[in-house]
Amino acid sequence: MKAKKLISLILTEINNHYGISKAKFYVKNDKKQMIIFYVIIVSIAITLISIIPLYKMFMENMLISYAMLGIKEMFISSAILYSGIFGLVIGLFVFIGEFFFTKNMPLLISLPLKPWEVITAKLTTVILDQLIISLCILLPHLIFYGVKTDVGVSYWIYAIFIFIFSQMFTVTLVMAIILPLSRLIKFSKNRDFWMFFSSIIILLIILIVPIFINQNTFSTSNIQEIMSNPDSILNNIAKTFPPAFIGTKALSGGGFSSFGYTIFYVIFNMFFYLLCIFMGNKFYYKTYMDLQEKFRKKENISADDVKKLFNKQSNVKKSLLIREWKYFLKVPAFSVNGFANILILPLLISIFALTSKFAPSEDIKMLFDFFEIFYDYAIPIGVLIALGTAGLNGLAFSPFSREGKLLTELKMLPVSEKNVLVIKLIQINTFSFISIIFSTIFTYVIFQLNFFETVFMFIVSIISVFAVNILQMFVDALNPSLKWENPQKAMKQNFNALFSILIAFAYVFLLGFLMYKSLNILSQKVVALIFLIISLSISVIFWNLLLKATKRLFEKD
Amino acid sequence: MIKIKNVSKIYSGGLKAVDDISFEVKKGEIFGFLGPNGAGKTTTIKMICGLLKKTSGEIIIDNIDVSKNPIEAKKKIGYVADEALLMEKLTGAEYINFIADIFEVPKETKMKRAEKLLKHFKMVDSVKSPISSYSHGMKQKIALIGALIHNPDLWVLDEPIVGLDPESAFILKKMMKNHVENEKTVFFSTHVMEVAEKLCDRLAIISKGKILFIGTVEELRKQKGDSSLEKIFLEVTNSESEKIDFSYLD
Repeated sequence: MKAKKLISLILTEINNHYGISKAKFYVKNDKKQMIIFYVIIVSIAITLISIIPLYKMFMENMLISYAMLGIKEMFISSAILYSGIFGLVIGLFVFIGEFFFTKNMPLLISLPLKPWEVITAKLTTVILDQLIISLCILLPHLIFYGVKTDVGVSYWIYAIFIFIFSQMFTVTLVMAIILPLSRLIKFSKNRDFWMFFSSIIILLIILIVPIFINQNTFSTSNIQEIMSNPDSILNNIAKTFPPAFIGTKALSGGGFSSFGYTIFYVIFNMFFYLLCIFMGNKFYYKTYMDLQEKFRKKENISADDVKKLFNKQSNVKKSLLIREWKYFLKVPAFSVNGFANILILPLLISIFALTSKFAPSEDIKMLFDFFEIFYDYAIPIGVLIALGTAGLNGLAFSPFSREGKLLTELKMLPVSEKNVLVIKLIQINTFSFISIIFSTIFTYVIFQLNFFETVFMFIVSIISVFAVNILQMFVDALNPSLKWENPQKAMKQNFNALFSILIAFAYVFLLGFLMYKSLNILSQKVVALIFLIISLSISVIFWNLLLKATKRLFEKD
Repeated sequence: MIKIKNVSKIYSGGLKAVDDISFEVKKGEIFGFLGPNGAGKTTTIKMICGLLKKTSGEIIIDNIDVSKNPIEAKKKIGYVADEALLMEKLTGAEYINFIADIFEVPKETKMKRAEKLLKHFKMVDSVKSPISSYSHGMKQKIALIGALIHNPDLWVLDEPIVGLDPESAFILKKMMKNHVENEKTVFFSTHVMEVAEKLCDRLAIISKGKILFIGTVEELRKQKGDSSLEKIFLEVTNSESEKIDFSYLD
């Protein structure tokens, strides 16, 4: 009976999380939704088909490189490791969303359920969500390795276990970060923000510290050690991420050793899964209840204070822009995601460029010499870097999805769709601008551009990123994800993100291919000018389409 | 003020929520819109406010066609939804400022109105707190203040009394009466028969998407006999609720 209740709870939780019944109903009863559903399926299929050859090539090169060093098992370890790292980063947001922001929690708390039952259901949902990462990173690697290295039947059986249990350790780590933190921040005024912000800081520390610990792993002396003793690198990985070590041993040891390590892998992960339930059972409910106590200041506000609050006036466009920024900054799932997308990579490359420039080591000097080959391509390369870093800012593919139910508020206002769109475009491009600045600094330092080349690259980048932003906004205007309770679903768990990544990459590839084909004939400035003309044309064409799509969206029921 | 001519609404799933309705709301009257759940009240209100596209017919607000000139039509309306549509991360003051700016309310007027409205609805002490920290009733009150800050010619209120404490409900009713004295109009939906009886100059009863009655409460009583308005409502809407036997719960 208990098991039946738990299974029913888990299935209901999964149904609610993925909206399975809702999707089934709409696909059956609403032709439009059915078409959208099939379009999504076809788009995913096309995305996969177009990515597979590239992915295969990448895996092939990786496996060959490892095999040449005599450490082909590293192919498996790195797949488990990367899927764990991605799982850690994305899992943080999924976990916070599922445990602290879903609106079904008040209902679950009111039911005669034990905390551990609710936690088991929620944890299973998070792990299922996380398995999508393993599906994209780990599974292709496991299959590729199996096919290419001519393994036995037992490999495939063990691989299934490695895949299924691959995210349990990661989720435990996430839980171990978030639960104590949520107890600490319960007194703060902006708890939502602090929960996201402090979790990310701790996560960064967890990710960066091992890099410093293992920074000599690939030094010349260590490579020699690896050649003579391939297990040494695995031992290093074991210190950083134990499941990668155990999983690799399970899949590469052979015979009884593989069997033993597989059992160990399963027990190891199950232990952490049960530890999660135990930790949750102990702390989660109490913390959740504390966090529900809303912080409202009871103040004595005088008539003068009231006047002061209302003594400013903005015009319509300015107030819409203020609304856009406030909404973005005050919803942590949006602001933290957005700033992480736009800042981390550009900041890292700029820091690399500046520190390399002003404190060069011998290795760095060699690297700079290597970059000299690309001096003649510097401006278009700089534009492509800007596109890669600023084009995927998270805001451009979610301008309407982020509104959710509030889109009705926008519809209600006496403001034209064009005004709403212009404001969203301004905000998104202002945001991208931050990344373009960093990319320009990087290109200026690495490729030693002169002032005019830098300004030119900067302008072409702005226009190119503008075009990619418009394309992404168009995708969102066509089919925004508006029915969410957890803001995370408007950003990271939004299908439009997938299409936008595809569009942004396709645009980078298109311009990159153009550069590759024309550089022997044309100067880099002319190539950049062609980039500018293409981007301007796309912006003009898609602006009109975007406007029409927005109007249609505002007229929709 | 509002002219609704042969308006129908069929949702994309095929549900006919509003079926060829026609009526007129005059300037200077409080018009009540009554009907059971799922009758088509909110759909009609949303079409009046330009939030939903009608399938057929015509909706005119103060001589402006809502479909042809939605922005001008919206400028005439102060709308409060049944479930307040608010950016909950903003403070009450930020929200009111935003709505006032969008409706281009002059600074001095805004200051005066905000001060009075906040005081009347007893929201002064909470105005600096985020809306997410408000109770249901307080959210309703801040949405009402947002709808009133630009002093619209037409108030469209969807179940405005629900969630308000008795004092705030009293103030709102008084405000509605005061509003129509200046040749302005109030169109509101309600489930509360007493409210309709005491407030409305005229009312319409809608059920299953069709208008079943339009007129004054007196006219309704003349037609259906002198019983309570609640009973008349159940009779007009063909409700069989009175006959339900709950003994299966024993």
